[in-house]
Amino acid sequence: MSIVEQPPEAAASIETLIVEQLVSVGVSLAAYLPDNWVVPLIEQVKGDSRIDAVAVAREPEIVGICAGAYLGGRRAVGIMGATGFLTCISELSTLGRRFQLPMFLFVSNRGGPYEPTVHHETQWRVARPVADAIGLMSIVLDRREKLSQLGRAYESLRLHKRPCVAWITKSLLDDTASWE
Amino acid sequence: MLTVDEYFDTVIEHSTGALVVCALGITNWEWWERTRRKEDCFHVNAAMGYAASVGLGLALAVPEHTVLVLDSDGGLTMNLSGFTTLAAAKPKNLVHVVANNRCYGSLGGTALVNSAQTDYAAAARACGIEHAVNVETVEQLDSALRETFSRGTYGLVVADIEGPDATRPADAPLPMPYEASEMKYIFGRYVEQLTGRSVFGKLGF
Repeated sequence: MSIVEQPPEAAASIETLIVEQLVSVGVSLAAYLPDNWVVPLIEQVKGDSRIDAVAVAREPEIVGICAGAYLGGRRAVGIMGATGFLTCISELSTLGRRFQLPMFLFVSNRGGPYEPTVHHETQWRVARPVADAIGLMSIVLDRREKLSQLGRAYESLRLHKRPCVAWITKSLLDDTASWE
Repeated sequence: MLTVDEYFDTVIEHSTGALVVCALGITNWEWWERTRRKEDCFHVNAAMGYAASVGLGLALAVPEHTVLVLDSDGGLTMNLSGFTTLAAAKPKNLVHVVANNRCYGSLGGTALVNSAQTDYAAAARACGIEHAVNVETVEQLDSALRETFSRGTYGLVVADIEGPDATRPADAPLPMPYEASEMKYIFGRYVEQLTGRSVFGKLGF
């Protein structure tokens, strides 16, 4: 029996890889409201002294905090679930889009065919089309390999001067899943 | 109860040196008409209820500067749960002032829900915010602002002011005559100059 050593990137958790990429491009603030899928990422952020984590009561506050941080020259991210994302459409449209403010949001892509929970099915059908409809940028995090490009994506997506959603998918969290 | 003039004159007097985040509606319009300050004030003509969130993000980005959020009772009512966020975040450099006229001033005075009973300062204190006060006179407002600016902790001042002046022309005061993205650059460039931080990066965005 032979033992094959994995590179550090392969051994690291998804959440570790995300945080390292964010820190590498100067992100030092994260505003969040939990959803089951993003709890590990929130815990990773909360446990990392390089990032200040701010818990909020409602998701639109995340949009406001990211906007204020941007205007103050501090790099931030927001973390939330798809349900919470849908509560932010007004703020993303009138503040994020109208003022042309880049912000980077991690949002769980809940409700797909692998998830027989009635309270998420609407989000699966609605969240991504709505993000497209209001002119947000989207990147789909469906494979672990993509995470190594996250820092570059954070940088380059600023040039679009609008919020960007990084959709956290089932296949990212569970590499045996067949659907994103 | 303060007049609109008394309220704004007093707040303006205390605002020197602060970065201002101004909620939409009458608060924004009156502030612009009286100050004509565009560089040090970000006018949140959007996202009603979340001016304090923008202020919190800004305060966390520039901790060496005081951020003054000028809020309205209508906006505050839309996100009262934001007090829990502010209580937990404990920004040391955020002063939150609310003009409480019990109505939607920019709609001509349409009544605000439950305005006769809502005590915003009490709600804030119930969420764990130590310094939250109601004021009804110029002297009280002046004293409360002096204390709040000097505390070095988040503080809330809710000023009881008169409703909109029905005799004013419908189109006065006017909003700030700058497009949203222009306001972003005006304010962001000022922050860059003030703090030495890069807001827009090497390529200007």
